[in-house]
Amino acid sequence: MTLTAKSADLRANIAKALCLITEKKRTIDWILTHHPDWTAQPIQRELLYGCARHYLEVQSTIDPLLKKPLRDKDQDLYHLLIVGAYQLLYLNIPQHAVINETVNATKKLHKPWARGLVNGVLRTVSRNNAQPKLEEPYFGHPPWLAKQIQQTYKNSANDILVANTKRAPMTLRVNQTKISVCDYQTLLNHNKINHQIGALPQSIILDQPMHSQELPGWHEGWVAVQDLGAQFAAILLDQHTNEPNRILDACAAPGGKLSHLLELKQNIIQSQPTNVTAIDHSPARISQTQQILARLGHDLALRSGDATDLTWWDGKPYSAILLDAPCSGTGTIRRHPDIKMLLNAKSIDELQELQLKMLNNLWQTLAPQGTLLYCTCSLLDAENDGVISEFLTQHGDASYTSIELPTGSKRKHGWQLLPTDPHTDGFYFALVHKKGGLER
Amino acid sequence: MSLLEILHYPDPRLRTVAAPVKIFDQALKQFCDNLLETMYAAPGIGLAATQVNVHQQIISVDVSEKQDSPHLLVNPTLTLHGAQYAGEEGCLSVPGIYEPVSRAERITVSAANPLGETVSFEAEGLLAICIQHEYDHLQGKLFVDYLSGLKRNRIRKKLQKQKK
Repeated sequence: MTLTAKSADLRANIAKALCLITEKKRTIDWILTHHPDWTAQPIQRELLYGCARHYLEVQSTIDPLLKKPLRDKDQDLYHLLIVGAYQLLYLNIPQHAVINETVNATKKLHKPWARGLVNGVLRTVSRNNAQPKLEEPYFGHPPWLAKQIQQTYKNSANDILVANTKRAPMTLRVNQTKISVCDYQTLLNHNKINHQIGALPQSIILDQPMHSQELPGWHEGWVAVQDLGAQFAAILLDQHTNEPNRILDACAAPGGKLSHLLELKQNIIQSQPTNVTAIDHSPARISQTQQILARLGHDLALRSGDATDLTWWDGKPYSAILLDAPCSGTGTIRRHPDIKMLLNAKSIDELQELQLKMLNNLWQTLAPQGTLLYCTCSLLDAENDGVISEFLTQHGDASYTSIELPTGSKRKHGWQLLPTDPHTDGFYFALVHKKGGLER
Repeated sequence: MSLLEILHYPDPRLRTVAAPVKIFDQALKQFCDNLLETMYAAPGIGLAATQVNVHQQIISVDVSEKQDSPHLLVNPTLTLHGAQYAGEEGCLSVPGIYEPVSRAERITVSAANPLGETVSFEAEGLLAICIQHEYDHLQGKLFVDYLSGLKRNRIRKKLQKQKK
């Protein structure tokens, strides 16, 4: 038998990972790809995601116990304390083991002098029998973020903030060009994977998350992992476009919505392969998306292109555009709890500017009578209705089409899904219609 | 002393059921030392004779941090007590794979040492898990047998791919 990575190493590595997030502004996704050894085991991911999910709550437990803040160069120690305290507060691991392993991890950080400090702080947390505290008014969010959510959602805001600290379900999208939902369900039942059908017929919500590669038919491309909210995008676009058409996916990577769209439109694409254009600005993400499309059996070459300029455009207008704009991701905090550690108020202004710039740019490529679906995975009004309402005032030839989905709620121009809605992340959709052409 | 070659899953020889040791001689003692040395070098915290293609009931275990308290158990028998407890296990014959397996929390071990003297003791925690894991090897059983067929297949394919 072999030991899993020595438990002290494991804790030291998570402390280092948290430092990368707070100091170098790295995301958890970045850490997963660049330090796979730090995150290979379930317990390591549990610690990393858990510490990020409850970062501010854990901070509020240990900060009062430190006589003075640790020096900048000792942030690794500070985060080791976070890792230790998180386990004491949230995990069912024997307290003496947690303290012992965390104290030993000081050696792995080459700071054996800090044994006493770590031991003292964690023993105090343990002795005080501290409980996790998810406190009003901000519920573990940076205050500016909580305030923005409260301004937008008033009475339901606190529920949203609490929902953000929970775990998101794992949701599948059955690739109906390969297998029927019914057959896939049989396959899941056969493998004893408990599940239920979501609000959309091709969506399946698993009772327990699992490795995607262990899903039946994963390598055959029978199924993709995609949040239920995200699955509405391709459906909305499909419902609101007339065929035949030329479709543009302007920020295609990582290709979840694109592959869904291809599945819905399969017949048309087979007859005229140039009907869908997909661009993304990052070559690395294009190659990643290409692999995902290949697995699902879609033969479409992505092109390198930036949605803020037109260098990639062949001059022929599109009848439908999907703009899944870069955004704060605040609707997906359950899946990406590091967003709470990384985001600041200023970045929202920058994102809003970028979103408007993309809309303005892509508008030139949309044919009269064409439809643009703008979507974000944000909860913030500034990135959602705020952007659309600003865009509508700037463009006389633009009008919005009302959206009605089986779950979520209506905003002034678009439709908002929330993490409090059943099985969805937070998403925003708005359909913008271009006047002119046939209209008289 | 010398290092022995460790068999890797899905090698069919790992499925052999080990025979009890009947003769306690110098050769046995020599083999036990090699087994222990191979285990430390791997590095591992437990190794069964089956894993080095010797099909006799011998296991070596050392779960101490400093690797200074080895157990060499010949013809072990186990009595399981306590609740089931799921801990993450890895195996030198299934490199790089770690999966939770449910085991008894406490065990009573009786066995012989390499000199043929009877030993008996209680074990709990990691030591108990490790001894159960190695004991399984002697029965031709691997920790991946406790996983779902789906998971086991994935692991087998992964290891076969690495081998190529």
